[in-house]
Amino acid sequence: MTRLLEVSDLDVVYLGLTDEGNVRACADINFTLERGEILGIAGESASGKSTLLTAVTRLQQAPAVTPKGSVRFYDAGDSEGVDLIAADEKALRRYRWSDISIVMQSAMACLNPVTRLEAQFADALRAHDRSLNRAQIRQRTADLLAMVGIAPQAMGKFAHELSGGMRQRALIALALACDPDLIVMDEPTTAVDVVMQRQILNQILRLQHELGFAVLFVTHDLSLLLEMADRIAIMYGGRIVEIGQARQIADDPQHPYTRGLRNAFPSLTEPRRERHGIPRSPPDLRKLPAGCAFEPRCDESVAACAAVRPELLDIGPCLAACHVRAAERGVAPLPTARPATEVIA
Amino acid sequence: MTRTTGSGPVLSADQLSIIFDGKDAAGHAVEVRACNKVSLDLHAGEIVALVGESGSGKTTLARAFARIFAPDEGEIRFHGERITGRPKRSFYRHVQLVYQDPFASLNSLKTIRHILGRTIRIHKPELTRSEVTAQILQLLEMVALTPAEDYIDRFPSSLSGGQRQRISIARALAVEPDVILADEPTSMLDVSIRLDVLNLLDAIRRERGVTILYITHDIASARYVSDRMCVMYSGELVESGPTEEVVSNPRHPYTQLLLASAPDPSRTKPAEPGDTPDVDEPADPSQAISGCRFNPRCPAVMDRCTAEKPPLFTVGEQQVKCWLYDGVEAPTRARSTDEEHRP
Amino acid sequence: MDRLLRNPKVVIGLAILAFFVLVAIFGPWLISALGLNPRAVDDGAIATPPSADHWLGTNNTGQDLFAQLVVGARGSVVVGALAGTIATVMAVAVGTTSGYLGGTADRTINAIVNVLMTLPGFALLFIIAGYVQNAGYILIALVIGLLGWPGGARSIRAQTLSLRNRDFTSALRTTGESTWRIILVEVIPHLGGVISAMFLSALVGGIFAESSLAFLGLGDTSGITWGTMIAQAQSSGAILRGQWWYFLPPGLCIAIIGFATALINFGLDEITNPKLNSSLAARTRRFNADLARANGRKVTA
Repeated sequence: MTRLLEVSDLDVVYLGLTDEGNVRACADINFTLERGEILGIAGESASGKSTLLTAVTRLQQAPAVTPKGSVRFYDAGDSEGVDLIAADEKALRRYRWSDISIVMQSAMACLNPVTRLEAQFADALRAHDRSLNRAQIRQRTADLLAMVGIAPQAMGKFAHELSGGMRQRALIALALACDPDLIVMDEPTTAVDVVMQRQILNQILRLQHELGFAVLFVTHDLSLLLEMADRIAIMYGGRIVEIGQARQIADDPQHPYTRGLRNAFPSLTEPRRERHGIPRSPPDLRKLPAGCAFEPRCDESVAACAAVRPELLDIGPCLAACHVRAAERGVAPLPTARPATEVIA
Repeated sequence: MTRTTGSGPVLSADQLSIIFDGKDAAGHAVEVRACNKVSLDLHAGEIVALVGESGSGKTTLARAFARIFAPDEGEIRFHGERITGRPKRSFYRHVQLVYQDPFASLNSLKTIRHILGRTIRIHKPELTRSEVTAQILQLLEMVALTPAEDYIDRFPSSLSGGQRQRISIARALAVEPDVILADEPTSMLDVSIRLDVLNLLDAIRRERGVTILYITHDIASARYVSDRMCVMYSGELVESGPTEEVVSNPRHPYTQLLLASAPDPSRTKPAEPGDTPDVDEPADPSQAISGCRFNPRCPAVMDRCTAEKPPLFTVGEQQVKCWLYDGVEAPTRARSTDEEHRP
Repeated sequence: MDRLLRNPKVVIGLAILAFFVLVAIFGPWLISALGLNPRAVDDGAIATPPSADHWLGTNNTGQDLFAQLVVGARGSVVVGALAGTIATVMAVAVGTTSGYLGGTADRTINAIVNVLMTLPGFALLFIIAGYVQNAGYILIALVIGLLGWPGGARSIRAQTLSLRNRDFTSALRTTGESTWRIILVEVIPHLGGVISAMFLSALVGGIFAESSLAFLGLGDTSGITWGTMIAQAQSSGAILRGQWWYFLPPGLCIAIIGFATALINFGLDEITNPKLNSSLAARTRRFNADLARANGRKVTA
């Protein structure tokens, strides 16, 4: 496997009217994505997952800024890579859609309501290859739509003439238009019903298997990721708290938050038993505690957790940011309760 | 788990239809049967799950039960008596609705004290101010917003989604109702707090004997909390029965499709992607379909399905609206569309 | 409320309005305390420019214009406030009822409102004022108020319709709350912004309408208002003779009240719609430019 995307030490801040009003929505984000890999990012509201996604794709709008970190994208054969955060608009344009494409939650908001599908596909295809003639574009559009199970006649339709599931699939077809290396998906199935969701997910898996693109898949629904991702990152309070193989997250989650989340989905097949969610509410990013953001909701926390923020460490089965787990695994001793500046393994 | 009482259902729909004016794909005015001849009984102290996709008519049915929509055909009965024409205020003393969106269902300009206090006063005008306050505090404790004194004078905007939904539930409980209609009460909440709202509904049922209709598109949560499950498709009730029966042995091909499609955390990514059965999207209630409304998507479709509407057949403890079960006493399970996905 | 008082535009606007209200209330008392009388004739000073004796000069009959301006504030402000109040109350009552009840009631009310809106209000005002010779300014305020509500009623109706379809009103209905209580206690507070904007524009409209009537000689000619002052200036040819002290002060007062209400409305807009807040966008641009410079990059938009 070769590296496709490398996010290092990325912070994203929403500026307030004063420095005290600034909100750090993503902090110290580190992860890599290999070619052809599906990486899922799961988190609840205010976990910073969508902010991360807009920063990685450089789609963020004021007042969001990226004060530090890099997002290095390695094009085929390019071992140096390019930092998408530092790149200017003109440089970015080279990668947009032809290398990195995006599927958003609301297809209706992403498709142009006043032009037919065909014209929107033509735009995307021409941006990639200006030499295409009309017949070639029609052929390619029909092929793309066929990949997601839509009849070619649909290319003459407007977005509002399609059903919700069709629109979402059309958007996936559009994302495939330039044969990208990476497709970024933000809750692509949240707006559709379960039966359609299952179909779309299966389609994504099948297309990914055939075409080999990598996927960065952001969702609040961990159960979806367990079924489709290779690796999963769990975000909480703007940080990645655990990142590991999907199988490991499913069978042996390490961070107490991941365990709580994993247990929060009732099963259809296991015997019925009483389950509990995670007590209390997700944190307010404007008032994050000094230590671990999950500490107020955690049933395993010790004194150190409130004072010292745990770093994301390799604890064996996965990377996790938890003092208790790191101590259990003998990776790092429990820090003393007095606030230290840095905890390094 | 089902509790049965001899006195019959608390709330029931009898051949209920709710009809809206709509337009078909070509823009012609058509009659849209959002609910079509639905019969459903809610018995004292049970939790019934009403499961369906968007457009299945499940919310319309709940709102008809809550008398937001008047029946166009059929009846709604409360303890066996027709409710059409009866005063609404006394009806709401017994039947309460909890809304899906906790951000929209509470007046953002009013305190929790006002929101809960008004509901108590409407139904118990004789209470003094301090008695009302005592009841508000009691309600807040019941929905686990403690210490209650900290919450009573707050505005909804200072509460999280889960806390707001607890306020909505407390408001429904304020009238000491017999029935709570909960319309997707957890779908807008974060995953980590959904279960505790469901546990709260279960506790309300256990401790106060309140009958609960739990409306959801999430069949796994329906299984978690309900005694009986009803599945709606395109305005019709297609299958009902004890929850465990329906989940472990779904009879209607639609129920089977729904179960196969639901995410299940015990499955992980297959090495080879499976074949996707390309099923169409659910039939919109405005579409004209002859015979069974599921026939265009049904993998087990027969000639009869397009010609005649199936009646409800009783199979064991389940009731199924499907021709597969005509004259079959205990049929073998119909072929599931996604058998290979099931562990 | 807190945010309201922290917005400079709102604070300045409110201060100006408060000043004129105080003048309207205490002005006549202040003038007599100063030993002035707006009707007294100073034979020695006919149409003189501002001086130590007559701060704003005198008119053609030798009356003190400062005294007239201060006393006239009461007439103008009372007409504006009364007309604004009547128009706003009518608009809220009709708009919320129509929007909340919906159905036949809404259609009927809406039809009436639409008919009223087609009436040429000012022309009607003319006829009524001309018919009732020397109508007092209370009557004029009544007429202006009663003709001024249909437009406001329509926008209130539209807002109410959208509130009616929100879940919280539906939830209130299913707790058994009565319709009038839902409208009065639960829905109307949400319309606060619209109602205050409407009241302010009706207030200014009332003052304008009164001045216009007086200017055309259809007002209360015996009373003193800014309108009658300008009318007298016009009839005595002050404008042609360049006697600016005669017509400018009352005109400015009217303009300043208009300016104050506009300020308040702009301020309210900024509060309710943070996107209009320009400083955040500027801060973001600065931050990105600094960052790019620190990293030795070219600054991009």
